[in-house]
Amino acid sequence: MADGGGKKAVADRLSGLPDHLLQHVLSFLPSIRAVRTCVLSRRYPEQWKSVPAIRITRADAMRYLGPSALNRIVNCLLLFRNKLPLDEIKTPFLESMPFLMDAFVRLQQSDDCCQNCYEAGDCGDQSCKGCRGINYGKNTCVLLEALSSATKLELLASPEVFIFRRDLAQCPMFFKLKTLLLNEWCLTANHGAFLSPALTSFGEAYSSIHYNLVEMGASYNLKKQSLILKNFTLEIKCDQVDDRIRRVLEIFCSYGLPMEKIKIKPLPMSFDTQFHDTWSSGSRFQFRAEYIVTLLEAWSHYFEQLDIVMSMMAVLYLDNWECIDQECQF
Amino acid sequence: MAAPESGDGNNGAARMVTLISSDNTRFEVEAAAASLSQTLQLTILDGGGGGGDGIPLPNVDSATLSKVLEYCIKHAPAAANGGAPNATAVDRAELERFDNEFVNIDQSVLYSLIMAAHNLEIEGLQSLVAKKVADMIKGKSPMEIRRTLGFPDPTPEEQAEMNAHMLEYGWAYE
Repeated sequence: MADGGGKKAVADRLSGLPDHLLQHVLSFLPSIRAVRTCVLSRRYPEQWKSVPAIRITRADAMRYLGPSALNRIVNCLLLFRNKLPLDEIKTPFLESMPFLMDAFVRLQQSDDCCQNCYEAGDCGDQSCKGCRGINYGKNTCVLLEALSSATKLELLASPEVFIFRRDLAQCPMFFKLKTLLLNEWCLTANHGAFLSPALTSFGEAYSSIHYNLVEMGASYNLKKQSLILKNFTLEIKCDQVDDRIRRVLEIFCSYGLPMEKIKIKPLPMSFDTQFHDTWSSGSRFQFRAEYIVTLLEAWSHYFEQLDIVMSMMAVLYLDNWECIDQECQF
Repeated sequence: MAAPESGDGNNGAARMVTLISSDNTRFEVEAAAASLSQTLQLTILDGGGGGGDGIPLPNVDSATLSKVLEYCIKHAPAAANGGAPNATAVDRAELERFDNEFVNIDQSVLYSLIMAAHNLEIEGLQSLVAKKVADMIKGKSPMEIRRTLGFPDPTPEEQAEMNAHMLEYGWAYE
């Protein structure tokens, strides 16, 4: 045991990181790699199961070409994660995962992009690599159906990637969903990608909303649907309130979503480089005064009772921004 | 006493706070930089750390603390902006360059840093180091990872466990 000398003690230290920090480290690895770290030591075997992210990398996408193959690997990753009792698992398909409460799925550099910009793929063009690769049935829900028991979902992908949109077009029901985090993939080309750097967190009424969003060529008329928004919170993170954000606000306001259920937060500084962490960490961000003012001006479009908006502004100033720092509760 | 109010009248000089490392070295930094630490931010908001009092940090030695503060000082202006709107691409590139350079350090320092970042709740720094460590083991074989992170060689027993694991999770090794 005692060979090595002093050098070893130093080198050993990284291996001595506490579990949660180790998980943080592993969360930066492609999941398949993280799984492989189980072989490192006795302490490692369980680590990857608690890692808060599932990372499917470009290399993975190359190896597991097409969404259904990719699906298989995501299935495996999800199936073996900590919250799932292993003996409950019979089949490595993402068909039903009743024990999954909390899922974070980020598709990074997926090949499932349609060169003809069909929102949900299936363009029928044989030269389109992304759509050609679809080898599952037209009415198959690749990823999301299996996650339908989740109470919290984070689904992140670049805007071109259509898997999530495609899945949502199948209209899976999320009966227990309380929080849903999405990024700009949920905004489709024929609406001018109006919510680009935005995150929304929806409540129970979510799935029917997105049914319209993903239909190719659908006109964006959510007013036709009657939604019950009483248990519904909308949260948007964005650089600034531009037309796309206004459009979103307009849509939700037209449903009668009360103001206090809308939260708007600025994007964190490191958005570009640390996408995953900033989206999921829930850290505190300072508001700037101009930001708030812009925001309220934008909002006044949507609320006829301007005096309410004005009085909110007063509260914000009085509280020196502190109260909205964490929750942005208007 | 040195005149603390040497500023331009209206705003005055930036508020400074003193941090004391475990080996009793005193560091004077701008409150804005120290406030990158969620832990310190609360104390500083309460008015702590100014004047003759310092904030003792019994878990952080001076070498680590100076490194941590180097990070905080660099990142403070961006953090004060509260978000991306004012940051130019140049600013971001510069920060990224700094970050890359910053974690190009010895493993033992990385370890101290991530522990300190965790204790002081400096999220950006913790992520930065965690990512660096992940990069160090990315693309390596299990044995190479063991060596990189300084695990002792596996006992025959551990080896058997590993083999069993690779069987159980065969899909990850396909």
